[in-house]
Amino acid sequence: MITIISDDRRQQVGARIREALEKRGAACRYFSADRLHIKPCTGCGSCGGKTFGRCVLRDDMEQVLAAMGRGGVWLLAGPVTFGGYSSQAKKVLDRLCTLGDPYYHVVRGELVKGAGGMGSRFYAVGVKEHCADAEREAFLALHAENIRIMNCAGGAFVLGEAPEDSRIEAVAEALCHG
Amino acid sequence: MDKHPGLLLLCASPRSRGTSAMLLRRLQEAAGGEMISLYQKEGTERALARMAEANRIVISGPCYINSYPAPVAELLEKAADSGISWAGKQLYGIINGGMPYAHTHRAGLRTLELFAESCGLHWMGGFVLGGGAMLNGQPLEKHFSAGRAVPAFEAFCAHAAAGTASPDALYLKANRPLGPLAARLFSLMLNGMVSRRIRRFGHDLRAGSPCRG
Repeated sequence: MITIISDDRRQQVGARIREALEKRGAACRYFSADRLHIKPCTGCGSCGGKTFGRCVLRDDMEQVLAAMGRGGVWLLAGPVTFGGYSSQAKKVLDRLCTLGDPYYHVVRGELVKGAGGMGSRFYAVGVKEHCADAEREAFLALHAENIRIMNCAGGAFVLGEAPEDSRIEAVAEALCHG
Repeated sequence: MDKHPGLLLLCASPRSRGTSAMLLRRLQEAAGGEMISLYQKEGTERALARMAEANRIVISGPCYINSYPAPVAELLEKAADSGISWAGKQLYGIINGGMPYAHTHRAGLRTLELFAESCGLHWMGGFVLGGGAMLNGQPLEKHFSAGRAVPAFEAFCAHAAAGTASPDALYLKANRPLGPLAARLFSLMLNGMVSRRIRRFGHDLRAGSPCRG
């Protein structure tokens, strides 16, 4: 299962990736982050204690967590915002701590947390027309830190607003086969 | 009288007594300024209005999965689209997180820097505090690496008070990486705390997150 969360406010690249995946026969679950009501994480820590594994916030994130909790491949797509994720995409990412392994591990001599135990791969697609090199590098570096701390595999791409089909296919190929 | 009436200290943490706020209060003692929270009612609009009036802005927040929380991204998006002239204002950032490494958290500062470049502010540097979450709002002197963190943060505060650029070397020195053995010992200590916390609430550790299928 490939779970796609796409902030579709300023881009249709997420939807095009979904089409490419479905043409390949991949099972997808698609969420338009901009159409979901998702409250920001309050950092209450309840999901790591009192309500272990459950978020106390009641909103559309419940259905997203249910889909992502099955593991598989996760794709977060949306506009590149100053080298980071858009606010709608970041709301989803911040709330994923509910799914995370509460324990610390040491990998290559460093402490990490982990979604890796779920067998998930985490990908990100940032969309920005004429994205400057500095912003592209910042986005890729941010995602590299994401998969490092989540202790999982994955990759990131920065695409223009109307990329050629071959670029979409390259992302779909990565999502399907790693 | 406020030493710096044009200095805005924006707390970007949902926890009003957490480490982000503690660091800002410490800065306020050195530099003065007005402190507001992004998480109060209509926080984004109020923050934008205050940012428009300020000539020096410091944003302090926790690190959620390698960057500031989502409301900061929302603030920056709205600031960029607001039509407000940001030209010439100075921007500093403070970010703190649980992992004791600067690289885990510094992407948050990079986002602020790119926002500043895009909107005409002067990026004046930032401060990363690894292991900050464990303080839970207690004084910086309680940090496991207080000997390095306290003087480095005081030097950052001096830069923010004077309006001079704060070099990355300050926080890089303060966040000297743990060696592999120390990382193992740290993980054992932290995992013991995690287990005790989960058991205290009567949860089954083997079951994992109920969200997982």
